[in-house]
Amino acid sequence: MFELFVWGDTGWGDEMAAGVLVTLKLAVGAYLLGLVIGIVGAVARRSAVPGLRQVVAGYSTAFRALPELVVISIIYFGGSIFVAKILSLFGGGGYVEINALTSGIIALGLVQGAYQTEVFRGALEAVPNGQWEAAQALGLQRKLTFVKVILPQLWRLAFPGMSNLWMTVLKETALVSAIGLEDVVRSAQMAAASTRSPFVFFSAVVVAYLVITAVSNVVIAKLEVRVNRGYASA
Amino acid sequence: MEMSGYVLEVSQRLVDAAGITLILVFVCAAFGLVIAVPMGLARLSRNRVLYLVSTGFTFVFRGTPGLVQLYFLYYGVARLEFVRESFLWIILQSPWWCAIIALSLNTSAYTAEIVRGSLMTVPTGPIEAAKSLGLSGARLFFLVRAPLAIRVALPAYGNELVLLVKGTSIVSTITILDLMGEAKLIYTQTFDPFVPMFTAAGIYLIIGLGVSRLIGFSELRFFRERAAGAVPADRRPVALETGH
Repeated sequence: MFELFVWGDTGWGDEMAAGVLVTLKLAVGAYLLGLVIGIVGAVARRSAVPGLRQVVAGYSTAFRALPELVVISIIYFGGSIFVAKILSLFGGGGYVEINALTSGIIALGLVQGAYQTEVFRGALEAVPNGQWEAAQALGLQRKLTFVKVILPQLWRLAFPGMSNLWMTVLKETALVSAIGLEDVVRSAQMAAASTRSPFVFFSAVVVAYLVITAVSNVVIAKLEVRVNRGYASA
Repeated sequence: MEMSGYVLEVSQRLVDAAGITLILVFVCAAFGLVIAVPMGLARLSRNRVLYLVSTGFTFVFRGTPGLVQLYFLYYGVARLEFVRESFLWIILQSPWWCAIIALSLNTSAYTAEIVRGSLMTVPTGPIEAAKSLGLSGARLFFLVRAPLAIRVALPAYGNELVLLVKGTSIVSTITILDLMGEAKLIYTQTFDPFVPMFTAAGIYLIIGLGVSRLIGFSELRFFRERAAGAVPADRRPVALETGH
């Protein structure tokens, strides 16, 4: 069995390892994109701009109810056509291919953003109003208050939700293999087809995900202690 | 005229395919619940074997993607020589059974955690009171612990059902023409991703909202005093935090 995982041309060890790296790259990329969308979205949900709150609420509801596969397909199959149409409006031509990794990061990032918006909305509501008032009394402007006073407190309040979402995005990465991204799942499919040992390679994928999950759990537990420093444990 | 005819035809095909998605959701939710309740109880058991088996089960099924579980079953287990020669082959050769088994086990692992978490929120007071009245065993569980736990579990279970609706779309990767599968098929026939995918998205939204609404109604059933506004917000059961 082990000769199947040899490094180099005879085995699939290096291909599987490369697949794991693609999976991690996709997960980190989508997570960070979702984090940015989530913080902006949470702030937008308290905005006084007419209609903005409703638009963000609609986005968050829709992307939490849509299957990730649908979102991935729309971005991947529709994205290139859409970009080409936009370009032709400005007189540009040609076909712009959006690759599978970029499509995956955008699609999963949009889904993550919808969930992160809810996480940060909850966290933002949990910061007492007195914090805003105190900052105002000290003469801080609203933007500076958010960055210097509110945001540092948000991490602690959003942490449980944020760590759940990391686990979610990790598992969602597998879906991007459906549009041909050579992540760990796709690598296993190719290895299985060529060696006729699907059981071995899909077992390897299961083990790979469980290891990543277990390592993530350890890191999250360490980080949790860190973000809660200065607060008595309940 | 031709455009609207095309949209109508696509919609008709997708609505038909949505029936497959609904059947999958219903069947897998039912099987999932049947597995989840004993599994959740085993997670709270003092019996070491029961505890270890159920903890291992939830760790594996919550720690790996549903798609990988489906592939493992359909491409991995079903292609093993001894499986092919046994009666299991009758079941595992069918993408349908693989889909139902994988999705049911997957959703049951998350639901088991909801069962466990909700039972843990039941205060000791009512249990002691029931015991002093002479209730024990099954009667204590069904008359006191379960009704109190269900109230806490329902909102989280509603979320899990919405995730199951989304989750069923992975069966399209093993040739089943559910809502996602049909949308993908229409795309490969027409090279138009927009009409089929956005229509499918709309139908998924309707199903998802329908499921949340259904859970909302049953919450009212289980929280009659809450519906009447008799319980102040801070006395209501806490929401369960169960990550997916």
